[in-house]
Amino acid sequence: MEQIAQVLVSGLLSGGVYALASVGLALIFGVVGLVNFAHGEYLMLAMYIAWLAYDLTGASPYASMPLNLALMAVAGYLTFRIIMARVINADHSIQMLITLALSMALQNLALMLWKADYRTVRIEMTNQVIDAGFLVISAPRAIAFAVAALASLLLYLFLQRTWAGTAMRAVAQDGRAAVLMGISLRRVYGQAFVIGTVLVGLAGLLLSPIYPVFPLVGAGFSTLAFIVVVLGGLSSVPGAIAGGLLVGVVESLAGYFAGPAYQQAAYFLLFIVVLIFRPEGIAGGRGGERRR
Amino acid sequence: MSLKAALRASLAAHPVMWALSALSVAAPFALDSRYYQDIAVMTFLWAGVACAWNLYSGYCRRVSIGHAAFLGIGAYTSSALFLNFGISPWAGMLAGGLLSVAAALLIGGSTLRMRGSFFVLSTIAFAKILEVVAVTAKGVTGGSPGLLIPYRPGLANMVFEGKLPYALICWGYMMLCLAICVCVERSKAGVRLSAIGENREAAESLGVNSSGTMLAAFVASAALTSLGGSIFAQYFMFIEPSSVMGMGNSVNIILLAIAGGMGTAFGPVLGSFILTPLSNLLRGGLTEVSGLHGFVLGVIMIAVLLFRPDGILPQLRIMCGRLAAAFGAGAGAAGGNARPAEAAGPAAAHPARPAPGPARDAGAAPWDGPVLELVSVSKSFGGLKALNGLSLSVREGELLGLIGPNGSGKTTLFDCVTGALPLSGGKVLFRGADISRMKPWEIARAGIARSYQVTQPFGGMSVLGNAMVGAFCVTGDYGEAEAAAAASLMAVGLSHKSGAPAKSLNIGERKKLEIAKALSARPSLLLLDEVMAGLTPTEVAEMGEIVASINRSGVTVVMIEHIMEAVTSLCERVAVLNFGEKIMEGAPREALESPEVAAAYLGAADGS
Repeated sequence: MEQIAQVLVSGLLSGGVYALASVGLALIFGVVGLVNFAHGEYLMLAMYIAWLAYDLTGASPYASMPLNLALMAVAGYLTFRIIMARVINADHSIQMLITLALSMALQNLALMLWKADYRTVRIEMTNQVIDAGFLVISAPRAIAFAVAALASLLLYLFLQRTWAGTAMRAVAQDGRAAVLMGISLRRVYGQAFVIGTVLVGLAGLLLSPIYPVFPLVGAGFSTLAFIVVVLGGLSSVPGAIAGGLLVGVVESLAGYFAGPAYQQAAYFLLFIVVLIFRPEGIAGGRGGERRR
Repeated sequence: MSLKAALRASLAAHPVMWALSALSVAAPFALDSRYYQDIAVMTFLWAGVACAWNLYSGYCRRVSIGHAAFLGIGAYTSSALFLNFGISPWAGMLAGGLLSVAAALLIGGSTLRMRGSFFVLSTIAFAKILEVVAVTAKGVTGGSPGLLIPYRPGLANMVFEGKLPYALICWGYMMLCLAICVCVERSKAGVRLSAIGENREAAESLGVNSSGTMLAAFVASAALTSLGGSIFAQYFMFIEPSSVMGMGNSVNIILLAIAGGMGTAFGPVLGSFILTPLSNLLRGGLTEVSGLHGFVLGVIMIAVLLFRPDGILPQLRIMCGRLAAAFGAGAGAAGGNARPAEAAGPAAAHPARPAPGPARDAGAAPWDGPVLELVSVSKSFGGLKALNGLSLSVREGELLGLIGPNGSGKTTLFDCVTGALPLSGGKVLFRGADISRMKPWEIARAGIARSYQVTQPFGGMSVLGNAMVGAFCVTGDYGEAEAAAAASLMAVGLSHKSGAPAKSLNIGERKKLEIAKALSARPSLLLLDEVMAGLTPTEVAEMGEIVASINRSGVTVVMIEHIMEAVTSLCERVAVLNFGEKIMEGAPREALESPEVAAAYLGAADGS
């Protein structure tokens, strides 16, 4: 029983970071209507920035967070201005293929710059644990979960309480109508893309004390984030959060009961079952799959 | 015979590309280093696989990012059969193909109905799951360490000493895939696939069974890809899950097809001829900077998608056309698809308009009752009753006007008749047979065609190609369909535009194209939805002439129209709709003078 509780809690903790890595993807899909296959590469980028800061100055990823997030915002902005803004009105298969190509270019760029080696950030906290009675929780995971929860809350408040957030939701509902209400699509798309990139960057830097970074680290997380957002209804931010937690728990349970080899298989199976039987996501309304 | 004809026509249209593909077989023989021969083998193999991918994803514009899964099925099936039972890879290759057909039927059956992004994501999931299976099912696949094919040269083992036999096999494979694509392109299936890619709903209204056509193309594409997978295994003599089924291969396939020009038979071949050697030379030449070749390919792909999303081949064609024109040579020599000359001057302005062929005799059985009969048809959207117990019959050979204020249910009525919307109640009889439960494409094939109020051209296809889609309701032959389409274009006065892409047409021409598309299906009943809206008075008169001549040729016509002058001059009878009910039926003059109709139009609601 205690073991199950332990498995569930560590599942939820990983799930929190998966959720954070995925909300950006859901936001970009919901608002811009773009399936971003390069999403995981931005996670990889943030992990490398955290590692570089640590390697060069010894700063922990938490200390370099402001710099890291600022750089991620710049990366997101440049990507949008140079590439995505040009294909806003293109066929969605063109958009998708462009992000696929971008992911390929970024992975190989990382390979050129930093080689294929696994780089790790070894701060003191990496091995610290919080002992809460019968539960043992790794400190960086607990911090990651807490920050992810906070960031999700901030995103929620932004979307609900600010004008820019409202504009974003309006565009997600109906871009053409939003334009008639005086909203600049290009600006809203750009904002959503940058926010999505910063959020996945945050997830990356929170992961850096836990996972090693290497050029293909993002690819795994990309697939995972796609599963999460499809579970959550593709364009729904709260759905992505719920989906992230669910995937974390499923992965953790499958690892415990069936062995680590089946962890991936478990959530891919979940993914395809949901795609076939409830393509609108577990919580979503009917018709989401028809939007794009 | 049509296969031969297709190949001959393609040979005439693309002599340069055919020569290049065919003569490339000499390249590995001319190169005497194993390194360059290896590049040639890879170029042929990837060209073939990219062609196979193109057969589904290119023509109907639905990108599969999981095609490496079929590569994997082929590779593992032939290898496992050889290693465990000593079955020759030649036979194993076919077994792998069959297994891929089964997998494609299973996967395609449940995922092809998904739209855009969801289909793409499900292809990735499929490939990932197969990869996990390959890692886990160690007994058959050898797990992560992979399978090693023993080096026992011999034709039966499909293992050879040098590279040249492999080059020949891969070249043969490429030519096979290419020939299949060429034949499909110039066939019923190809035209239908392109139409589905452009606009699935409009394609169905012209008799295209989209699910069936797509599934067939997906299965064929999977089987061909799988053959490539078996060759892949025999060439490398070693396979492991990620090197065969990994995302990298899927992306590479797409890159080649996109760069060359997706949805064209030669595009993927051209893409591989340029990029596979480039990628290999970069990889081989700059070993100290790993990642460079991938980075360069990624950047090339982004650049192509940003600036030339149609790929290199269409661009080359345009350039060749210009060159040919500049040197005064015959435009067809190199360009093939160079834009057809702006057509025959005065004839284009006042085209002769022969009546289109006689209406198709749908059931062959004679029928004297009403052509179309609606029996208390209802359609509600949630609480809104768009059609409320509406009954109407359309007589053989008449030209019936359907009028009524905006929102009175006219277009909904068309949607219900053509099967685009399911009925909430009542039934629709066409020549006495109940068609209420039939699919849109079945109804179109039965002899009902429609035009859309908001025109739905297949933008990327030529005007002639647009008109051909419907023609396949009547014939399976490409040449006959072409002739039928040309006749329809002639009937609406669009012949001079037949080579132009449909998206280049103006609104008046688009309305005419709508009619030509419908006409090609040789309907016995034609439903026209506001074909005159937005036209100039001259164009309205011309359109009236076209509609009248279609009706004279024996086609029963129902037209929704707001231009009353046109209605009164064309129709002998009108039906007036308001709030989903028929409030009046009779001669146009009578209807327009009726106070009830005036009230409906002027908004004195409920006809009280």
